[in-house]
Amino acid sequence: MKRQTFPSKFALIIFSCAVLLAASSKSSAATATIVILNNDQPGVGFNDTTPVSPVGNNSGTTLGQQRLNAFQFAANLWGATLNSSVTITIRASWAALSCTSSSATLGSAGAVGIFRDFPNAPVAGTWYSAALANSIAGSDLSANPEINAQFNVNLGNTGCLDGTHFYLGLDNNHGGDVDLVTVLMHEFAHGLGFQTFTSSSSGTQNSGFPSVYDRFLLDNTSGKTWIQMTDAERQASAINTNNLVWTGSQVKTAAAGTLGTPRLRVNAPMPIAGNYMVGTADFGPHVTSSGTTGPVTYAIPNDGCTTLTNAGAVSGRIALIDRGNCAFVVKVKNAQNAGATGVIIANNDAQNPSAVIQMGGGDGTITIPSLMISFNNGTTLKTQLATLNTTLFLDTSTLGGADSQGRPLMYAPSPVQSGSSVSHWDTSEFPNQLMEPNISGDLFHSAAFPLDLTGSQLRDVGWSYNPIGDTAFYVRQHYFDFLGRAPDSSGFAFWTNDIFNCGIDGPCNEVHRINVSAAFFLSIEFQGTGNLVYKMWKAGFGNALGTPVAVRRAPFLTDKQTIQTTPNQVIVGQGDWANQLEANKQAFALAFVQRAGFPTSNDATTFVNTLFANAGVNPTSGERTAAINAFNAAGGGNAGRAAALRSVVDSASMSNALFNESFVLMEYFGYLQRDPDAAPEATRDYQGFQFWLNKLNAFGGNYINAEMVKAFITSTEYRARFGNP
Amino acid sequence: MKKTKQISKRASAKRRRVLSVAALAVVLVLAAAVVAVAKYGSSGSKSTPAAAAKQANYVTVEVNGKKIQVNALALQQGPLTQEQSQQIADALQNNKSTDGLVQVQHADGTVEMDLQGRFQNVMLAKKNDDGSVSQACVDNPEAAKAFLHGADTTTTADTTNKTDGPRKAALQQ
Repeated sequence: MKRQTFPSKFALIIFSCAVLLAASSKSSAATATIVILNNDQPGVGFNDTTPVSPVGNNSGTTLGQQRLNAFQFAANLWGATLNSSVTITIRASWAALSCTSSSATLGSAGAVGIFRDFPNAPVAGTWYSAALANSIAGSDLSANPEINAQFNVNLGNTGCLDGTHFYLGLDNNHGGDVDLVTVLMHEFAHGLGFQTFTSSSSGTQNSGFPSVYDRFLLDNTSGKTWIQMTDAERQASAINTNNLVWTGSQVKTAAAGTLGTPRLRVNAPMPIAGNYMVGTADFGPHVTSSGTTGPVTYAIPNDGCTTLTNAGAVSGRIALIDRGNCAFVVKVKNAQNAGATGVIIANNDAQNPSAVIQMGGGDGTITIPSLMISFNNGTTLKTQLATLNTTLFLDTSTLGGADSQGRPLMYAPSPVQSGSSVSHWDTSEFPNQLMEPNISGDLFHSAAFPLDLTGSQLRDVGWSYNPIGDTAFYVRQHYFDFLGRAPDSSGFAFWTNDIFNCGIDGPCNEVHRINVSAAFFLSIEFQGTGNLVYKMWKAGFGNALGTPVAVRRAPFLTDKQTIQTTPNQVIVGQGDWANQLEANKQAFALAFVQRAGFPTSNDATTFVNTLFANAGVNPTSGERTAAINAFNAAGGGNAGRAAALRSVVDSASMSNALFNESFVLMEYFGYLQRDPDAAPEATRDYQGFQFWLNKLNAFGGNYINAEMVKAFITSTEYRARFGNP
Repeated sequence: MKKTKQISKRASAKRRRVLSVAALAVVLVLAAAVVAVAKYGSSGSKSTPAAAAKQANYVTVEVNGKKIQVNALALQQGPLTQEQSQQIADALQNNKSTDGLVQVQHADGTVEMDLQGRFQNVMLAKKNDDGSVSQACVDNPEAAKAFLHGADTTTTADTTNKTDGPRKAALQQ
């Protein structure tokens, strides 16, 4: 789903309500409150009053305020997914940390204290970081803050990594600078529990007790976890490269959908079909398991360094561009501007014709995936452009950076290399992970699967965690729940940014999460598929026996899938989607009118009146006439009935009359994945459905004022689908 | 008189600094020109940034009596001295030590340990030979030194076989 066109009436409602709620509603629905304790002196760090211009959704107008906003934003990203009744306090400050012109200490963070044998402790005699211990205990075990954080106040100044600054924007558009939010997410995760307090260099446990982290470190050579080892065995294990894995169940499950191997698959022509080795990009979205598929067009100019002159041919397709003459981000951005859905960069290194490289650069506005293929493979593809069709995808059958059982490798270099041992994922993981020892430029502001394993790791060590608070996860889940497909890159970026753009504005965040959620129902794609199906059922068969709705969820899902994919897979905004969708609608309608029990009258007026009557809708005379004319123009019979059905269900009277009913029903189908009368509905009938329909009707369809979407997305039943409710 | 002399001395020092900076600028520009010529004269350099980095020419210039290595490729200051990296690493010397840390037992059986600022995770950054920036999170001095003095770990091969150590992608087209 790309940028959707809202029906004007609903757009107005949304806008009005957004304005109202922004001023009046309560704070964001974060499930843990994380506060930044400003530990700076007046005029320093967070209190630096140097005027600055707002940047990347960071509305602060002083340097200090922007720093504080970035800290709070990173804290909120964690707070939205972690559950804790105890406020987590991060004692933060800025100081002149060591640096030279070409190197610097960016900052540091970690737990202030650790606890063992506290109330509700899951395992006795085991150290937990303060924030986690408080969460499990349900009380604040110490007056101290839970996490320390100190960052370098001089970064970017002369003599301190000259010219490379912290990017204080919240939109990840950091370019060549250091994205402070990402660094903070990483360091805060250590403070939250992604850390052992056992010495990697000596193997010695802290005061003779293991850390909860150690319980999940498994050495594949010895078959022992770290809590089963002697000091000497742990010492050896810490440098047992490629053999130390994380054995927690949450991570293992998440890894299966997160890690993989990026590939280019040639679907056609057959003589060159197959998977090709690729290099990945540090910018733009990762390739996904569902992939980006399409025909390929060779960009003009071939190097893609200037505006593409064949944009019409590139639009909706995958662009093939030669390496050379300008930065990778320039090429991909030009292709994106031309409407490409993905980019293949053909290496120009004829001296190493099988080589690919990792493409560097940063541009937060790039929303399409890109991969590099070798010089030789590029040459091959260029000879087959007429019928070339490819998929840029993540091959999840080969997990990048995991052992044979799908358990992610931990960082255990030998000899010791950059990056602290064992308290990070191994650098071989793909896609790049937040908790690898280095911060990669392609990281998203997400710590939830299927982008990242960190949230799952925190759940393994004992955190009550729910990924639905993670913006990327939330948006992605809506694609599956309402559109029945994986997100397309540009649509995914659009909707995640819609929420991210709120920055640290909690009420804005809440309203935009609701609006983004509702947008999936209101979208052209859903209205043209799922909602159309519902209206057809209503017009054709009236309400299902004993219910106030036209269709049960199971047959609805089957029909929705059919109209989305037959004969074309439709993704609004990609390719010739409008004509493809229309073809799907026609095919579906023609088959639908031939189902058993569907009205069979050969008289146009009788047939049309029956459809409107089934739906309980009084059409205008014009709508009735239009449907009758459609029946006759198609020559009657099945074709006539299909044409009339289309006319009836597309009529404004029908759409308006069934809008609220369909909206409420789809909340049950989409959010709760069940029929309104199915378990765990207490009364096992449609009382709940009727309650929400009455409320939505009472509010004139204003789902925000009716608090309907909010009620569903914050419900225990919905949240329990994804994690700890 | 004394004041005049001081001012004169400062002015003289300032002139020397200006001259030094100007000299440095000239060196850098010349270096840039040499690099530019080399870059466009070599067809293979684009595809092997790691190899190119290893062959980078460091120009030693003197500013205010201090010798500085300048990377001709990136026009950045050269690698850290042992002393400089030691200074950063020293800050982590006792980071994982439990010496002096005290366990406090509460009435309900809870045992608390204030880590006294230890067990912190430190994010370091360094400029690479091509001007890009690498970052690494460390918690011990050996790891810090390894990062600050480590070899260029640019990934030039299939990223499905990512190398150990922080990666640096090719910014070059």
